[in-house]
Amino acid sequence: MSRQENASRPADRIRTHRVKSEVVSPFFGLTLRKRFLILNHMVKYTSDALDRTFSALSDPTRRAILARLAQGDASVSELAAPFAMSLPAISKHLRVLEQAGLVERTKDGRVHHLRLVAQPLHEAAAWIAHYQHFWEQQLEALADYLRDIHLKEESEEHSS
Amino acid sequence: MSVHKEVVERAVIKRRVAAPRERVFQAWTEAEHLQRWFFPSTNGEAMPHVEVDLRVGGRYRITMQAPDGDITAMVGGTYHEVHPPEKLVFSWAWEAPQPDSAETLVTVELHDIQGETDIIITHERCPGLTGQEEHTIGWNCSLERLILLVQEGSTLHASAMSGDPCRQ
Repeated sequence: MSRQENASRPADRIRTHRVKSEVVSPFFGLTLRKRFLILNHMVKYTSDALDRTFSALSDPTRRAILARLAQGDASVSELAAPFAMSLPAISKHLRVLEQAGLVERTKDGRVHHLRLVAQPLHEAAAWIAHYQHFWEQQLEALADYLRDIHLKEESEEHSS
Repeated sequence: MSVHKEVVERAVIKRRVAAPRERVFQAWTEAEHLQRWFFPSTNGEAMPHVEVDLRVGGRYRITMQAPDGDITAMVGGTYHEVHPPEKLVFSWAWEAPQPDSAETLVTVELHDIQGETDIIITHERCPGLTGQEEHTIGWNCSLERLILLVQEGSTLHASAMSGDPCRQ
């Protein structure tokens, strides 16, 4: 994660941002301030790279190719074998993955070997995990709210 | 640094709540409900301010303010699909404390399970929603948007188009 260690790390900008309240929410564990800072740090500073990654991931064939390469390096024809697809069609997908920095190619004579570059995938997974967590907490709060208004209605029915 | 067998490209969250889905849909789409649960407030932080214009092309915005008036968080977007009481699709972008450079897309599906409701949220980063740069990778979303426009037909007013993140 050298990106986050270099001098352009935006921690100072984040620290000076106008966020004053430091409220601990029982629903969220973290303070609201921390939650938003984590979220925005991640989304803002890797957004172009993330867009390229998610664009490459938007296709099921390309996701399957990456899953295959996660098991080990492979040649183009090895990669093409499980798919009912021509070699040029597979090559087109591989070019998209290379442009997104998800795959590296080495040549051994006439045979091209493909290797997975996992780092962009980990960044994408972090984005997904973050929103996973965020929405789980939101839904926890929604479930509590729905329970509260249901109980309130019941007690009103009893008292009337 | 292992990669899972399946490579996923979106966040999917499921949860069952003990409430009829009409009520759950209201909780997602009416300001007086949203401000009671979305960003739950405690210890002096005021309830969020919620603006909702519930129609395709309409905007929403949720703002959290500290007691001294400072904005601590603000998120907003545009409704892409509104199907009460079963489905809601909207774009999503933080405006504060740090603005997002691109909008993302949230789909909320509500399934009736014998009087209770399964909520399924899908949050995806759709490169076509990117505001200013990287137009070369915007095709998928533009096409989806076009199909959506054709389906919605005359219900989408010209004024609503100005807020459309996919409009280039």
